[in-house]
Amino acid sequence: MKTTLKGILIGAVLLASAGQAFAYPPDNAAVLYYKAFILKEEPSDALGKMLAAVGKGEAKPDDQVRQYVERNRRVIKYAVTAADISHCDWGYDLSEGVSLRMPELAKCRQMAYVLAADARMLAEKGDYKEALKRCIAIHKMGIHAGNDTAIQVLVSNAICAMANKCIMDILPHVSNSTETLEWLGAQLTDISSRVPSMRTAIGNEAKFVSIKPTDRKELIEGVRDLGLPKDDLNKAEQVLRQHDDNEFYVMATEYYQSILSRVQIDYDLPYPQAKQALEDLNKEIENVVKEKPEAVIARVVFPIINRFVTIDTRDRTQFNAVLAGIDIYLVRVKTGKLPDELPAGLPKDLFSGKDFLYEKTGAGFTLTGQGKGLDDDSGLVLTGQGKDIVHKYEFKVAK
Amino acid sequence: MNERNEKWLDEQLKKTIDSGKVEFDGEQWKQKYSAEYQELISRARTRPNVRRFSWVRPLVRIAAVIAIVAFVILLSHNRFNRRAEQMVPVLVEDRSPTKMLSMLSLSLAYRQGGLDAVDEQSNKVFKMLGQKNTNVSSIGGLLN
Repeated sequence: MKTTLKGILIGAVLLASAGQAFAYPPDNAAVLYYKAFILKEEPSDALGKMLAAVGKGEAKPDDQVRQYVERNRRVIKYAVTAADISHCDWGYDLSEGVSLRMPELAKCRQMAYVLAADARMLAEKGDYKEALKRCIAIHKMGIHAGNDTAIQVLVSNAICAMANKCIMDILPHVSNSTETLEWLGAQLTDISSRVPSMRTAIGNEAKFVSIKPTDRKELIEGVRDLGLPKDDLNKAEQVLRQHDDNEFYVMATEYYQSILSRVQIDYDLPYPQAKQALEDLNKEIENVVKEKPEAVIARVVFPIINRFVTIDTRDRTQFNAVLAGIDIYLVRVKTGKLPDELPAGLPKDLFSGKDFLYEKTGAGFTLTGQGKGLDDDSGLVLTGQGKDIVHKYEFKVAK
Repeated sequence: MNERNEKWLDEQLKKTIDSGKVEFDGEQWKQKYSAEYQELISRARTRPNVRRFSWVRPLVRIAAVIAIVAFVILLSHNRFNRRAEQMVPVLVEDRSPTKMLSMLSLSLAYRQGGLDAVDEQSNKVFKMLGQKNTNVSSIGGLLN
């Protein structure tokens, strides 16, 4: 009896361990993403540009794109499976500081183009639900891009913005389907709460970022490529050439971290105030660098962070517009017509903190932000120039 | 092999080969080949400035010249490089490939031209690392 019981127990343990050994998918999405990146056929430069244009909705897929997508069908499957895994760890060694290698960022974006091209091809065939599922997978991959660093969040936001643009283009075809609209709304509400936050990324970066004397050569080369005014360039390069001691880089790191912490605080302000606070901080750094050479690194890097708040706000506003648009479509399906006024309680324009301006058009409706942002490459309909860009989102309805 | 055996072996070899001590006797040779000897002496006297031709010396000279030229070029090249490092912007292609994928490098690329610049820089690195672009079915295509 005892022997039988022992045998059963051993069998159960073996079965359980065998189950773990062959568990698929893995619990880390990055494993499958890396697999997809390795197997993905590298397109020629021309085809790569075409894929990006198709993904963004700027061009229709041609035969080359169609064949490419078909040849990468298994790669798409890996990426879609990876997107559904909740945990994603790219294997960063944060102790590497600013020399942390991030090869997956561009690969994520390229993969997003392939998924978006596939989504548009599915939509062309009339398989709208499947096409929207691809868009959701793109969103999830965008979330997986991570929020340890600001550059990750920029990539993440760009991927999510492309997914939203694709959704907006498919929406008219499902605008009569309550079931699809409700499903999509629920998916996007969940995703929007998990999209990496620039504020969090800057906080994380402040904790781990370090600049070391070994980064000096790269900094000098990087500074030269920035196209700074000649005086600024000479000063920055001179300071970096003069200092190769550890003490200088410790001070530079501390100063940079203090700036990031202040940026994080400024991010909590509404957009216009946050933008103003960051512009003031930029001027402060320009003054500090005259007295403290170690501030030169922050001086070189900071103007990017200054722009982040605008890009972050733009992408979140677009997300809100899509969510608001879906709610308006649902009102139309339930009542048989578009509402005359914007329904209450919809997500807002984050540039102004106010509701979107709602307008019915011959083809559907538009939502326009009340605040002004900055020029961008999201493929949205924009009016104005430079810093006076007004974001307008067009939604069409099925006839 | 012991000492006794070695001596015995030496004796046997000597007997077999019969190799007495061989020494060159110049005087005996001069007498035996007097005509040829006089001919050689006369040649040396009539062409005292003509050196015997050898392939070795020119090769050594050429090698020496090449070495000196190479040294001078290397020296000037290093100086030029040092000056270039100070004055001429370093091309992106000149950098270590994986360094161009660092957080710092990608952030600076972003500052230059947004995410498209990040993509462009990353693609350059992937190409440098041997991930060639393809137009037709590649290994990835075969595996899919």
